[in-house]
Amino acid sequence: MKVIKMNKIVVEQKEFSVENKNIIIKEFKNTIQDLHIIGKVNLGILTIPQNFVLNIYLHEQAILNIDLFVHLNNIKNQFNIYSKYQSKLNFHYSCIFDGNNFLNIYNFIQSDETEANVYVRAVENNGTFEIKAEGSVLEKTKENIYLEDIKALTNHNHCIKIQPNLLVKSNQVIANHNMTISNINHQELWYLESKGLNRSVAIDLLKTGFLKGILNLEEIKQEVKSFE
Amino acid sequence: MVITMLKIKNLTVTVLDKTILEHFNMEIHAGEIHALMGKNGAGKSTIAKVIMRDPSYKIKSGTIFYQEQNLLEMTTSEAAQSGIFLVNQNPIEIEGVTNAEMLRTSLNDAGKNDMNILEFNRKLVNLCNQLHLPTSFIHRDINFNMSGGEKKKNELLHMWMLEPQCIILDEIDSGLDVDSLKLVANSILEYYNQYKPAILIITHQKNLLDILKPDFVHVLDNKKIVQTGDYQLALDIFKNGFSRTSIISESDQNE
Ligand SMILES: Nc1ncnc2c1ncn2[C@@H]1O[C@H](COP(=O)(O)OP(=O)(O)OP(=O)(O)O)[C@@H](O)[C@H]1O
Ligand SMILES: [Mg+2]
Repeated sequence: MKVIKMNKIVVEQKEFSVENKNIIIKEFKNTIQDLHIIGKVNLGILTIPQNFVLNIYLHEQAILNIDLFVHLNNIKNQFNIYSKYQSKLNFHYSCIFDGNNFLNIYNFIQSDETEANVYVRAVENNGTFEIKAEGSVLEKTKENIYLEDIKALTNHNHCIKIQPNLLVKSNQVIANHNMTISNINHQELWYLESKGLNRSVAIDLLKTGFLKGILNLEEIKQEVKSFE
Repeated sequence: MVITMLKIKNLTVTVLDKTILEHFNMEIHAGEIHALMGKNGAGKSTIAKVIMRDPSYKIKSGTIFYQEQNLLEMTTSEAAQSGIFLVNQNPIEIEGVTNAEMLRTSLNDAGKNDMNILEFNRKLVNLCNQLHLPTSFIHRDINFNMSGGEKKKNELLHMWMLEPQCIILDEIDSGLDVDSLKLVANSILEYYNQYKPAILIITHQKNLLDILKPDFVHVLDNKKIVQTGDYQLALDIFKNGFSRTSIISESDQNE
């Protein structure tokens, strides 16, 4: 397996630009952070502050892949994404949660021919999680694609609330939501047990598998593994 | 001394209150290859999953002993860790969990992990080569996005790594092209020659049995084994079909 070593940085400036780079952000010093994306950027995020707002500005034709894995414990976080002409976003948010948590993702599609793919995977440890995913597609814009895929694993369905919301003022948009709240898949669990894994180990493996499934960056996948 | 691997006595199994097997008997010794045949829906996969301790099936009566231990008191994990291995008729896909992760964890859980990571990888690479699978399969998610034939080979990769002593192959020959079928059959034969496990083959086809030459062939019909013979019985069934070969099927048809 080829692993490209990525630079790990701490972001201290309130306004931060990344251009044609692959970086891992270890820490954000500000709780309200502006992030400008120019060109093709692969971004890994390892931690976020307690109450966090990240404003992501995708410049024209920018391509951003974000991989994020966090352990949420009484955390409110909000991602505001502003997409310009022909920009493309792949947003992969994986988390385990304890305590009471909120995630808001707002996508402001302001121009034409943009594409946004928002994936969220959440595993309950012991807590609640409210997820709001909102796409807002401006009037008179054309040929935008907006896809949302939000999945949560829990034994207590009432602990999770997912609210997808799409405000489309343009009729030229392809939009799709997909959200599921489920328990561990029993067939998958039985399969792993039939290969000799103890039940609790198999459950952990399925949970981390679920969280890793949407991630692309090896560094971030590694975080999920080491969390077990 | 002949070691009894599996001894199934008078087993009655239901699922959702429907009786699938009734007074089912079968005994398999170490080093024996058995074939289980029978019409679609006869209950072949059911017995395979019952042996692997699938909790969806209720045991109404009867016993199963595995190497003198009461299998019905074992969990699926325990059965697997003590050497039972099943290749399901339709192996499921698990996104996010790789072959290597699963195998390494399994060897650990069974307390059998005497290989370091390099030896473990080397063994997997060799096996991939033997099974004509790209070595990228080592880190692929279990059966995920694999073709039908690749899944079956992938399951054999697991078998070779876990080194079971009692193997149940539920239609491992379905969906394989001619070359893959030969490769799969020869791989099983090689495993057999090396480890002398007990093997139960569930199949509808002749090719696999031609290579593995079962010692015993059983016909499952009307919820139980209605006939047991040698390889010749299988040949008769392939030639004449079940109804003319098996005794009970005819009375079954008169019902
Ligand atoms: N989990 C289940 N729930 C409901 N019915 C089941 C279940 N498992 C098996 N059955 C039923 O039990 C019967 C036997 O099924 P089984 O899969 O064992 O047949 P089989 O002999 O393997 O058939 P095939 O040759 O088609 O694979 C069938 O009628 C099937 O519908
Ligand atoms: Mg079957």
